[in-house]
Amino acid sequence: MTATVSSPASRAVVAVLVWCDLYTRNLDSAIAEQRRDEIASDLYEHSVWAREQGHPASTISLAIVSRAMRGAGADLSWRRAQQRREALAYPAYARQRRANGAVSAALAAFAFLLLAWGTYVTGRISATVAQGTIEPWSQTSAVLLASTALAACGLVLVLRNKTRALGALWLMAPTALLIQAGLYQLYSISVTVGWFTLAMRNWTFAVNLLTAGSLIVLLAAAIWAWPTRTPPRTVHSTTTEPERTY
Amino acid sequence: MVRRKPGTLFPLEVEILESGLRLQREEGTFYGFALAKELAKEETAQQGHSALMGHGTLYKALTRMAEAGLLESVWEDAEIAALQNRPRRRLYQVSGEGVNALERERSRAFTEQTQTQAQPQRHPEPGTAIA
Repeated sequence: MTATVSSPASRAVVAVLVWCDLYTRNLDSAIAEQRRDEIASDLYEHSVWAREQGHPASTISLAIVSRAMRGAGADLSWRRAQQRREALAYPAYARQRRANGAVSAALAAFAFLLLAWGTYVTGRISATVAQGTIEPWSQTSAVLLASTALAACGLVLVLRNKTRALGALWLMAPTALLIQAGLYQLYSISVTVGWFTLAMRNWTFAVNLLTAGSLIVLLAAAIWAWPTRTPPRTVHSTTTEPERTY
Repeated sequence: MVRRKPGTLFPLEVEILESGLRLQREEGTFYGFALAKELAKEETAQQGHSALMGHGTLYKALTRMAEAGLLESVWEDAEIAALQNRPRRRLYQVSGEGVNALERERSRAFTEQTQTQAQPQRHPEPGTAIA
């Protein structure tokens, strides 16, 4: 159950619920839901009680946020404890989740680097156009601009669980275009790239290899991140036989 | 992370059990926010000032104590909560195990205190030369 909270300090309440959603993310759904419901109940009771005491809305907000901040360390520690428990109960699932996390982080880093590269090349082109050295709106610069926009969309897609596979496939187009077209464009405006292009015998082969390698990695990441049905995990409820560990 | 001696309780757990038992005597059960208020009231009585305990600290302790069998918990009937137009509460009770653990902790604390008081004074007698 996700409780609705009506309170005078609704923004603080929403902020705490968002924080709760964050630290219960990817935990066992029953455990996470119980925690969210308990926090929602606490926030509601706190708001009603404080209003009855005659506290102004700003004081209530401050008190709610202060409680959340003072307990944030314990929230994270509780999350780690839940993850450890899940890892012990479901080692294969825990390994898979770690691998998923590594793939997600690598994809996000790749998308970010691609976007940074596109932004850098576009910036260099803009600076050179401003100096009047090259004509504006060449075909290559239009391709670079469009590819940078595609890379930005790809970054947004790979950051979300549900669209990660699509994001990896999406990034293939800007990857193919940005590496090749970016270096081609920089050849005429960058001394360094110009020098590499002329001095390195296998420069074109290296660029093609980098492009092809990136595309293969993206395809593999898309296959890895493709949504699949995961078997439901059993709920470890605190109402079952407790461990006598105190 | 603070490690406890086996079979002992953290000070926070002692406070939760004591406050929980007080609330339990009045209401039969207690829930998170009621306990936070009771803990703050107790702290105010002792120190003159207090703040409501952080959500994370309180609910982490409650979860741990429920898992250890010191507390029993049950979710309130959703219909009761709906009738009162509020989110349902998780209701706690101090279990028999919790009462025993609290008694053991009090007796252990009392023994430690008695032993400390019974220890001979190490201060030198007035007028004794210090080597």
